[in-house]
Amino acid sequence: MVVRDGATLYTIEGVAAALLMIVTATIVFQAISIYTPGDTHIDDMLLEQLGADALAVMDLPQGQGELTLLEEVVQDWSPDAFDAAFSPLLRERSFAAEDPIQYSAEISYRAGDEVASVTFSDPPGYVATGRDPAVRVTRWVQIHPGHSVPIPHTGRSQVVLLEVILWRG
Amino acid sequence: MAGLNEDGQWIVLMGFLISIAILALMLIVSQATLVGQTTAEGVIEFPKHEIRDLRSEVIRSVHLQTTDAILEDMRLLSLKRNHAIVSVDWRPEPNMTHPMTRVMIRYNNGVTVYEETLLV
Repeated sequence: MVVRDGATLYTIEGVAAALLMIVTATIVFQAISIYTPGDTHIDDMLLEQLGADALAVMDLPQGQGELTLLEEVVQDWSPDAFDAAFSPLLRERSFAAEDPIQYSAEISYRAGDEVASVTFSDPPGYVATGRDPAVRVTRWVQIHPGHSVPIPHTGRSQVVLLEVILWRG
Repeated sequence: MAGLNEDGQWIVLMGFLISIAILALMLIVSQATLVGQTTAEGVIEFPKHEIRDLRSEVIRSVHLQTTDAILEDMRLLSLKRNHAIVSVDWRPEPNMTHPMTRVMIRYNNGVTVYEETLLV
């Protein structure tokens, strides 16, 4: 019997091509990440971090022994000044259009043994769709006698809780 | 059997391989949903900002005239709005070169427990 081995080269080529295809397919499939409902926490975490950082930036003293900007705007009850400082921190991006983040701020305070809230700042003209998943960040704010916050005056320094709800609109 | 054409074998084999690949991908996707949910809850529930803010506010407050009222503000607001039990004890620390206050902060929201004792 005459055995010819002329096809061996084709076999090797076939094996090499198969390996190449498998490696390519492996790399391609590993590069895919599938976004599942459980992964929304990544967006929520980023939003929460952004909101908490923005409030922390505003809560820095403006000078030695001076009030922070956050204390000032709450103490003077000026939602406009709050919006002017808070919304650029949330929305401005480099080399891109503004991030359409919406927020609503509220102040909670203690009156005796009860807790009550007043609205501080609402997004102007925003119509809720009912499908706006929101995150919540809070910050303690000290206010002192003589403040303009529309809550019962206690005649002492007190701490109120600034609550901000954030969502993408 | 003479004249049997076997070219169709490849098509059948490829169909088989592709169906196995799709099955494997489906398993990965279905597991990712379950795993991601638990992780998401764990990460979102952790009150990092709350604890840091509480800590700095307590440290600022212990040298004020009305510390007790302010700490009561924070205790009640934490309980009602942040669903966390906050307890702060503070007392002057004797036998120190400089007058200092010992502060004990306890925070518990049912999932995360945080305790700290510090001198201010």
